[in-house]
Amino acid sequence: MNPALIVSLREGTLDSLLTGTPGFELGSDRRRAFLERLADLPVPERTLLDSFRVERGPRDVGPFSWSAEKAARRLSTDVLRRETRVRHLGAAFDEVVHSLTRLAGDPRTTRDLGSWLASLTPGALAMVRSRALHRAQLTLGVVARFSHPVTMTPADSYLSVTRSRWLLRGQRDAVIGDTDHRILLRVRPGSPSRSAVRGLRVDALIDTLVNPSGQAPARMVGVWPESGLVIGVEPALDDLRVAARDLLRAARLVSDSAHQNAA
Amino acid sequence: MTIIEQLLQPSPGLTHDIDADLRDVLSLGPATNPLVITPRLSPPRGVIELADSRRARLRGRLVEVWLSLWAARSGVRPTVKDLLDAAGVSDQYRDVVESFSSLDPDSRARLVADLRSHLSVLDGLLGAPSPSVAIDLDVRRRVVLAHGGGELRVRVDVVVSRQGQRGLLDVTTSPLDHQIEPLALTALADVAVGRRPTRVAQLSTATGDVHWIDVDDALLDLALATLRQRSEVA
Repeated sequence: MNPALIVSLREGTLDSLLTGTPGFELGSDRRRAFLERLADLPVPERTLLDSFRVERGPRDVGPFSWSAEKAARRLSTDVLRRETRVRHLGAAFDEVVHSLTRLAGDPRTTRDLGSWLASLTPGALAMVRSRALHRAQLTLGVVARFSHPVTMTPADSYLSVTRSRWLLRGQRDAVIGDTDHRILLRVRPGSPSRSAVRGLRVDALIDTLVNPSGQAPARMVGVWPESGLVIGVEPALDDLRVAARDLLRAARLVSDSAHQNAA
Repeated sequence: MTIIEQLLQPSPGLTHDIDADLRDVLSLGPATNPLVITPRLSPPRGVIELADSRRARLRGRLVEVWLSLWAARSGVRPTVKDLLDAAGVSDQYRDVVESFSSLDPDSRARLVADLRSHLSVLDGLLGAPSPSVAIDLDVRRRVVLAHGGGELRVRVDVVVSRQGQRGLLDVTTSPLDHQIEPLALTALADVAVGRRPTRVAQLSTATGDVHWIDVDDALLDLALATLRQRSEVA
């Protein structure tokens, strides 16, 4: 297993992480074996499985509900697709919220972001704005530190697991390089948790499973600009194996908990 | 001139080779027996009772919410109701709404009156943020120290930057104690992650006092000496 690289965020740190070899290729038999084991774990409804579940461990995640922090990641991505000049981010946020709330449904019957935003008071919306713009600025600050072109990803990578109700989500905020030699970037607020490395490996695994030829990213880089820390993971076969074990463990917890609730 | 503009005024800054200065004291790596060093040893004398009270803690948290809305330039001049609405949708501040609701009506009324006074001071000192100023809130630094296996942990309430100038601001709802060492350690933690702060300040929303200082070589020397001293004492 490749040791995770944990370094402080200094001048040139991020560029120095762009020297990885092309990503490891995970054979189709291994991919199939993992997905079949996952599909064998029953869940009663469509369930999202991602690095958040793994990092959170056995603590109950609970049913999904929107919050300023949860909305911030999606909104900041949308804002940055429209605008990358810091002083105009606020106007871009207003446009994004306007377009999302225009066709909003009733928040009591739908869980979509636009309906939730439309239901907020001015004070609550101001908090969402604060969180989204803060996140957008953090991301811009990180992207500006690379001397290579960085592409903001419009969405995470998703994989619906056949014969099951699991939906895998690999989180990523930006990508550097071409498909064979891609380096995925996650920008995160706060400080890394003790399981941050495991989370990054899980993101790398899901991105590998989504890739048609099973090619892993050359590197998965997590940046915590507020703490000045960078963690780089170069996923080899053993890293992906550990990530698969972590994902299956998290899935088993969710499955067991759903089973107990039903009983 | 607002405190934000004061923080962003040109200053002599640092001339030392910072990396060389810090190399023997700071390095990133696993701490075996972490001694946690924070800028303040203990709350300043006379404010312990205030800091301990539940109402004061709640007031401090609502001031943080106010800062979030201020930094987002949302155009809302927040009332206490706006602050509670804002706290209610944030994972970080949801407990504030529960704590506020659990206060008896008398305590709640006192908190609201007290909070209005603190917010009025903040509003006056910070002013509306200029679009050209980048603002970061609640910036936390954890710097692992090479000798002693310790860790310097710093939390900065407001970081403002504009064209190479960078100011760090600690906002407290208690009176100021005018010690320089906490400001020096705050600046050092920022320098240790590759930033170049130019000024560091502390602001009291209780009294309206502001204590600020240029980040220069002398301030960093003081911070390094304080770190060595605290490591040795421990």
